[in-house]
Amino acid sequence: MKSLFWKELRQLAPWGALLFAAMSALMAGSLYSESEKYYYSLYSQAWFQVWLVIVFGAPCTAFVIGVLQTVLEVRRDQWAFLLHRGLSPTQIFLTKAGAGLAVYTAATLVPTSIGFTWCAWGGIERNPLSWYHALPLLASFLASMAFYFAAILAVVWKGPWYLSRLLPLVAPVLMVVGAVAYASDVTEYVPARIFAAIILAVGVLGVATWGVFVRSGEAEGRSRAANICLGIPVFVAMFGGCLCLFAVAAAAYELLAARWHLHQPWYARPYTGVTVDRDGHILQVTTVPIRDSRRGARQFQRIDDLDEPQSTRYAPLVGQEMSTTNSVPAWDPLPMAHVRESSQPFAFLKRSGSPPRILEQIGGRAMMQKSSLTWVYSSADGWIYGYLQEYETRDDGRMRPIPPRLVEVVGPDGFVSASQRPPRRFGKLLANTGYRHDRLAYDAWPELSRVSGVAARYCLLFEDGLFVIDAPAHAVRRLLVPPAGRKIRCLTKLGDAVAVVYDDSISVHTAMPIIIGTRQDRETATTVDESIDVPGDLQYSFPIPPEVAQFGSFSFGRVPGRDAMMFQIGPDLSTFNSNRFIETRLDGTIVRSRDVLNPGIPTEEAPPILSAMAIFAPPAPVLATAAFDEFRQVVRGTAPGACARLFRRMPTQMSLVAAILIGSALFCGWSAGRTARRYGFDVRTRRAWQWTAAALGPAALLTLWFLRDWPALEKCLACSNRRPVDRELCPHCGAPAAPPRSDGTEIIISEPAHKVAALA
Amino acid sequence: MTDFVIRSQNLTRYFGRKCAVDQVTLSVPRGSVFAVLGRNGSGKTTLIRMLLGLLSPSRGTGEVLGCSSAALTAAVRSRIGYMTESHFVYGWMRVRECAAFQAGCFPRWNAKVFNSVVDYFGLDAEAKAKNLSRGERAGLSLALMLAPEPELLVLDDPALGLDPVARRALVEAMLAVTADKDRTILFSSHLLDDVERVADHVAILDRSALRVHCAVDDFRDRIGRWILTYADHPPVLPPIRGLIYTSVIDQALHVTIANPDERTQAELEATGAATVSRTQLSLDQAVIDYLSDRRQRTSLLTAVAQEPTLA
Amino acid sequence: MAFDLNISTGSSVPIFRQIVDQVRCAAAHGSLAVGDRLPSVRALAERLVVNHNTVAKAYNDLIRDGVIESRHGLGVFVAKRRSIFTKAERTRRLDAALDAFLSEALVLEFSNEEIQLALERKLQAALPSGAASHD
Repeated sequence: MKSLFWKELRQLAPWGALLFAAMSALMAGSLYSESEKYYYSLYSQAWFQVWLVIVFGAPCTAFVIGVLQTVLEVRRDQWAFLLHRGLSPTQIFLTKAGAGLAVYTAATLVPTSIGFTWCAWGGIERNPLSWYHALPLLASFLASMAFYFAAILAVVWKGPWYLSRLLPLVAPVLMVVGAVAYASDVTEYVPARIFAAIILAVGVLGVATWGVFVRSGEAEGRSRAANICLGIPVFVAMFGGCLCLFAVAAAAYELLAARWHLHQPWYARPYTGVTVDRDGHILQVTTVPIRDSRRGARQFQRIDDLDEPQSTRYAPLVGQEMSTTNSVPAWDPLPMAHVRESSQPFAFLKRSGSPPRILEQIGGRAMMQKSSLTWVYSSADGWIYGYLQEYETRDDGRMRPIPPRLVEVVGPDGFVSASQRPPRRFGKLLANTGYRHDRLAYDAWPELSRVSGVAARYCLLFEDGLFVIDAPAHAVRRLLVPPAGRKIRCLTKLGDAVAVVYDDSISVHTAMPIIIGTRQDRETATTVDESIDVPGDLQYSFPIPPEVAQFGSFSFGRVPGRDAMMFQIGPDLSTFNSNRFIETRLDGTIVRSRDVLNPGIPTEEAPPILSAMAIFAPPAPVLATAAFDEFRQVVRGTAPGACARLFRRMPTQMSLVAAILIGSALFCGWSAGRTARRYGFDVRTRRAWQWTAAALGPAALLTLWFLRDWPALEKCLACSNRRPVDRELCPHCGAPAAPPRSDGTEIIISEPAHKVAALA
Repeated sequence: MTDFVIRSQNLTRYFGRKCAVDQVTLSVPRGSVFAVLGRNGSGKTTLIRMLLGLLSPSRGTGEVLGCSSAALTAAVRSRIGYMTESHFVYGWMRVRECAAFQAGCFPRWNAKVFNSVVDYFGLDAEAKAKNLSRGERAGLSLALMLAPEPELLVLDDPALGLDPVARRALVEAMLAVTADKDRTILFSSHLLDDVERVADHVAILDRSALRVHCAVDDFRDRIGRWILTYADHPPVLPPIRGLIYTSVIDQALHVTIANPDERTQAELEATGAATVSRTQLSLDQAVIDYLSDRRQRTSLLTAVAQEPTLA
Repeated sequence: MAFDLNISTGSSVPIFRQIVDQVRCAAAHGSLAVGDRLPSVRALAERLVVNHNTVAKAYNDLIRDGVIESRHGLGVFVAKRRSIFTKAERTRRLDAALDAFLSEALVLEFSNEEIQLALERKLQAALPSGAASHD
């Protein structure tokens, strides 16, 4: 094995060196180009460059190595020479993969480590960089290994068609896209389960590649584990392909339907939503776009008061333009405040309670000023670091940034100099007026959108309090202290008041404006101060009932003149497209709870293409989810479940969907069974495929068809059915294949011993 | 009871709709030199690759050294020497490195054998494999195959593209191997005088089916040629048992017949021939007749020569 | 006259038959004397570049015909000639050989006397002792 390993290394060495050089050049180039951009950098921009290089470089490197290691070797004689030695194919594969991955590691991880270490040890920016930053790099590095195996599969696997060899590439592409989307924002706290998922996915591809390699790419004799592991990426590709097909078909349908005026385009159709009015009545409101309205205005088509069906209060509104600003007397929805789970994408994948990111820039930067301070919050340390960014004028008169310098550190108790550290730390940072992409901040302070001038004061919401940091004055002021043992979840506007949301309760405060920046007044053309509202005096507080608290996002409002709070949850996946309304008293006792299905686009207006989506849906998971929801609703006494309700609401469309779903399951099961019978699968395998195809739908059926190089079919001389050429006996009549035609010129003198052995 | 090193039972392989090897059942006795003959594309390479487990059969089973072809263990594989058609070696390796590489992959390695073969072919240990001539590469391949001291040698058309000297060296090497009674050689070839020198068993694949499988002497005994002379132009022959080849040369009809028996002479005389005489057939002529298209025709030379007069 | 074996491939005579014929002929012509040692199977196979089994088969045939004999551990030697054929068979073989000889000679238009003389001369040369046949 050692000599084979060295042979692989020697063979790969020139290519490995080339790839290493390419990665290093890319890394050096991107870091060098970054050295001119301090003024532009958010935080650890250099780290971001390192990450970009590995995200795009590692998959390419892995793919190239995988292809190089096999594409020359699969030629017939070379493959025989490689495989025919005193080593088992498994040993040969492991040695090959070991060498390939070693070269891959050297070519990608070494430049990355050097780049990262350089960033961590100062580099061009002296920002606090934690070892956590290495995790996304590692995740990308590991995820890209899938490309190595996919490349080997693409070369060695004898798929039914040439293009089908590329199918295993789809899964790695999705993996890396996932890694990009995930790690680019939720950088440092990539949890263990993400790594476990990546390693599992790479392992699945690895096993599939092993199974394909040891059988020289042929389906015959491939182990069951390898077949399953190969089936998974192929299924992923097929499912993705089905969705893409559906999207293309739906888009084509929409385009053609709009062109031939078969129905109105989706944006011109009526839409029905559910809301609450000031009396606490649940309203179902249908609106349609006003024809030829440039502003996209909508008008009321129908308003149903679900709590008082006989009411004619809203009848005069029908036909009028819907407006949220100029008030129509009778149209007065209840002001609601919104609580969002988190501003982070993929937040559901994170360990609960983890900080959103380890480094967060606070405050804007001064472009091309002589010098400016950049504030960076590190959740690992719980402090805010102040970096002085200075510029020098070059010979050609242009300004050139010089490396930033740490000048101050901020803690809850105030500012200290760079050489010291504050005695106490901040908690988890929730919202920040300085960072302009923070959705939680805009929920808390809608006024923030008006601020245009550079702010030197920052309002920061931490789990353990609301702080105003006044940089010029070197002052830290705490505006809000949560009650002992409570953690702040978010801040939100409820009408004119400010609501502070804790994990289990909400307190509503009067709004207290504080000046946070400036804006240009267009009329007077002067710069005026702009303020945001922070919590002032406590008005009232109320608990969040557990029925509401279990949901990440919800809205709430107070019904005026009544001691009642109205919570609205959904419509989204967590409520099965329903609006759930829960009314409580201020002490938390539940008065009523009502689920109203969100009708969206009404049945009669919905295009049939929506139902057609069911063709590609995997029947079993859909039906199981529906059944589980039904069961859960029955157990909780809120029956009927979402599906039953949908059926009641839109019987025709839902029947069509159900029919398509069940029909697709039956067809896929039947078709898989037919394929299996035709190619003489044994009973157990046939059953397994039948059930899998019925359960997972067309994608599973396509997976079966794409998973192997199908044998030709020949006419059976005994029963004249078409029999697969790779079966000893005809699957239809059990007759053995006809021997080659004898014409009496054969000279076959078999020795007796052979005859006995042959018969045995 | 004879001991067989290779056995196959109904070994069949399809490539798409094309049947490359059709239900081949053969057995190679231990210690024999077994030649597999056939025209190009008759399935010799496919058969060998299936026997060595490098290609899965569509149907049937193979067994080598008592181990199923589909699951040859490393231990069994190391007892088999296999030389591919193209004498493949890694071009970037030096001869010395080839030896080191191969030695690391086999449990046994007889450096003396390697060196003597390499010396015989006059190879420089420092030469890069890609700079070797075809014959030299064959020598290197041969050395790499022989050094692990395999008990079964499988050579796929080893003499392909070799000059007479290299070919002779190859034949000598094969003969040297068979000096040991327990070592077996299976080889495919188109060079019938090599086959005549070394082989004692022969199998012929014709259009993917196994047609001949016997000892070389049996094969010669079972193929007979008759010369039939006629008063005028020879007639088209009626079906005759075992007829494999006929050729018209002047007024005579040359007929090659497989499995002739005592009635054959009478059947031939019944065609109205003036004289019927049996002649001896050399091995290469027998094989060529056997593999030729089974139609009565004039010799190509005659046909070409007659062309101008016909035109 | 040194004993030399030459075989040719592609002949209608199998290799083992060629060896048998040549050894037999050499023994008959006296270029191999009784008691001469023949090369071992292995050596001859190597020299002729043919399969050992072929040579072994030829030697077996020769031993069976009594042309050579194997002395255990010492090698193979030309045997003292003894006939293993019946008188009738010998006569038949001689007739066959004479037929071929005569037809060739007559085609070449030699007279009876010339043929007899030539035969005499050949006999003298092949068997100088005059012991054409001892039984």
